[in-house]
Amino acid sequence: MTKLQRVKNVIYGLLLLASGVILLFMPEDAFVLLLLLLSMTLLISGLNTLVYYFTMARFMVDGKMLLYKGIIVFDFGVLTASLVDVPRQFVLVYLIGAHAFSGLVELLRALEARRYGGKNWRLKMGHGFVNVITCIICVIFLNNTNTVIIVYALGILYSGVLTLVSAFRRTAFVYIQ
Amino acid sequence: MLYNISAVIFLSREYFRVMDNEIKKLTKKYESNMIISGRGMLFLGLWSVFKLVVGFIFGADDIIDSQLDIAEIDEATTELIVWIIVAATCMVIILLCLYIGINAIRYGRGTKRKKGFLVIAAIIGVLNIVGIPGYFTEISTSDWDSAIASALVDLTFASMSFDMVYSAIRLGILHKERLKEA
Amino acid sequence: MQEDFHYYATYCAAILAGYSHEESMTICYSAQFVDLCSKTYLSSIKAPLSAATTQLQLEMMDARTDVIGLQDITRIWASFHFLPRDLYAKKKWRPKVYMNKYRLICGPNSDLMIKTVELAKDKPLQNVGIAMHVLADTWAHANFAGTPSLVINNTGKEFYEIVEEDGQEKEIRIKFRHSASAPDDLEKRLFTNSLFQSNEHSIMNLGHGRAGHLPDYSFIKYRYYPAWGEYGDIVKDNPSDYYKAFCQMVYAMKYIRGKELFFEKDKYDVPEVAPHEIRIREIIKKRQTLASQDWKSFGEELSGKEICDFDVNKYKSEYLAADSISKEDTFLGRFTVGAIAHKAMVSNEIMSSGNILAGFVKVLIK
Repeated sequence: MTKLQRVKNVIYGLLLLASGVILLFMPEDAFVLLLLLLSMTLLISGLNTLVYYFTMARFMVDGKMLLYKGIIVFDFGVLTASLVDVPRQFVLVYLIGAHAFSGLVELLRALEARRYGGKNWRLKMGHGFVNVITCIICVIFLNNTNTVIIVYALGILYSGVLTLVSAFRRTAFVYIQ
Repeated sequence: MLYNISAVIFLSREYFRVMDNEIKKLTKKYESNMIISGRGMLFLGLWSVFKLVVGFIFGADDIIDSQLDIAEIDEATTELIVWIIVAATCMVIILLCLYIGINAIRYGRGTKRKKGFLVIAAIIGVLNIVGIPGYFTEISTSDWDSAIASALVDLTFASMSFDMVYSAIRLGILHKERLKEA
Repeated sequence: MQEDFHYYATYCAAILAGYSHEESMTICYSAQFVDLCSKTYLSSIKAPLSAATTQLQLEMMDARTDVIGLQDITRIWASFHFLPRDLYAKKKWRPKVYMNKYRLICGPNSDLMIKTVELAKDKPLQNVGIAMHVLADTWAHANFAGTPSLVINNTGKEFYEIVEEDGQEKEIRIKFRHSASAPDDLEKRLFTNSLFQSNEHSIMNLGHGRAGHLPDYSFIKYRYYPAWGEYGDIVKDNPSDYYKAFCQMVYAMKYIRGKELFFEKDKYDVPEVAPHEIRIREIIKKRQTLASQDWKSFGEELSGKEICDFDVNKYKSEYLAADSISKEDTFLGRFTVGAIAHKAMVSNEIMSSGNILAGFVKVLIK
């Protein structure tokens, strides 16, 4: 990883941590923040897709679909930012779905590692269970927005920590005899 | 002399094989362009309708209030008229986009050869371009992002339409070239 | 390619190249083991994880697709399964970020293939097995890249199988579905492929997923449109390619044994294989998903010995029982050393070409 990539990852990780902390300690204003985050995510995603199209995908067979997708996602981000009310169910369902999927993948990986006699299967299994239990809690408290916001904040904090860890991982070192 | 003639025949065959491959590639490219533009037209049409409906739902009161000032009829009737106009606009957009999009896809797949839809596509393209400056007149500072996004969507609509027309023209030329070589 | 070619066909090629039965078993076991030596397996035997030659499906699903994760994926797949054809390929009006991926497209008879075979010379037989796996895969996996990339590894929707009927070639449309559990239906031409993912770095966009298992079936000749092909189609003639791969393996192993002076591109030891050509082409062209039984019978006829079935745990206890000093002298120890050496060579070549997709490799020559 180059120095610039490390710096970018550190900044991104710190931003994620800050966002998670704000969400945890200001739940009343958090919903507006959540909308802003969602809108920013969509705008950035749309822009990313457009940049990707102009640098790579325009050389690909049927690549133009990505141009149109990028425009629509960008426009969706603008629309989200300008709306007063966004359907809360959309946000809630997305969070629950993402947690459930990552939990299941962790559990399957833990089972495979256990079958091959790997070391870290207990840790992975614990992580998978936590994710699945989180989803169940979200479903139980589906009508309580504050609980969902806390879950989302924890997810952002987790991503922030992982991003910082990967920024400090050592580069590959191989020797030839 | 026989050697020279053989060489000329071989090179000519090679030339036509290469040209034939090039024509095939370009034909495939423009057919794909037609299909993608057609699909894009369908999606953007639906998206425009969605935006129109959502924007109207969240801004219905403002629109109705502004119409109440102008017209001398009661609120309920005004609301009904506004809803009818919105519904009619949505229907027109959907039908137009469906007509153009489906025909473009069929044209790209080779199941349709009539080009009438291209005229409408070209008109829509021009209208979209002409309408873009309208987003930037009399807007407040906070509405710049919406204006840019809307202008971008209209620009995409226009480029899609023109891409469709251009691809259809190129396909016609390539078809004639293939007939000539055959 | 699958077990039928990597294990049994490699055994047959080794016998024809002049290796004994025991040597051929070592070579073919190593060739097949490349498809199973994952980090999960290596951690279970406490072997160096840098020797991983493949990634299991669950490892891939869990793999991070950040910069380091992508480099790790590319190092493994580009080194062992999708050896790049031309690291210095040129294309007009393409940005560097695109060309980095384009240059990783796999293909046979590359400079890297020469280096791979030369690296295996005067080394343990495990290195030969690894080289043969890589060589065989350059034929089967041609036109795909060993890095997650939508713009390179995606394909058009149209796939046609080319069949011969009454002396003429005819095209029949192939249908794809996305069911991992349902087997490919060869009669109905219904195959499984990976889902379209618009994310450039999605794991689904690694290798030949979009073409399903078609590259791994020796019997099939098909036509399709690769994403990088600018709407030009490619005809992939597997029967012809697999035969060439087999002949080239024989030639490569003869070179490694010292029976040939040089290993050159586009050269196939056809005379050595010629007496068995009809039999080999029959096996290759037979319409079946796995030709293990046919290759096994052929191999046993050639050597007169029995070829035992592949067992991934065959040498596990030997490795676990060895102390740290003598681990490198075990079968798996030699394999891991060979794998690390090959991975380092390929990663170094990719890095030297100015391409950072395989990461930075620090090489110490001892």
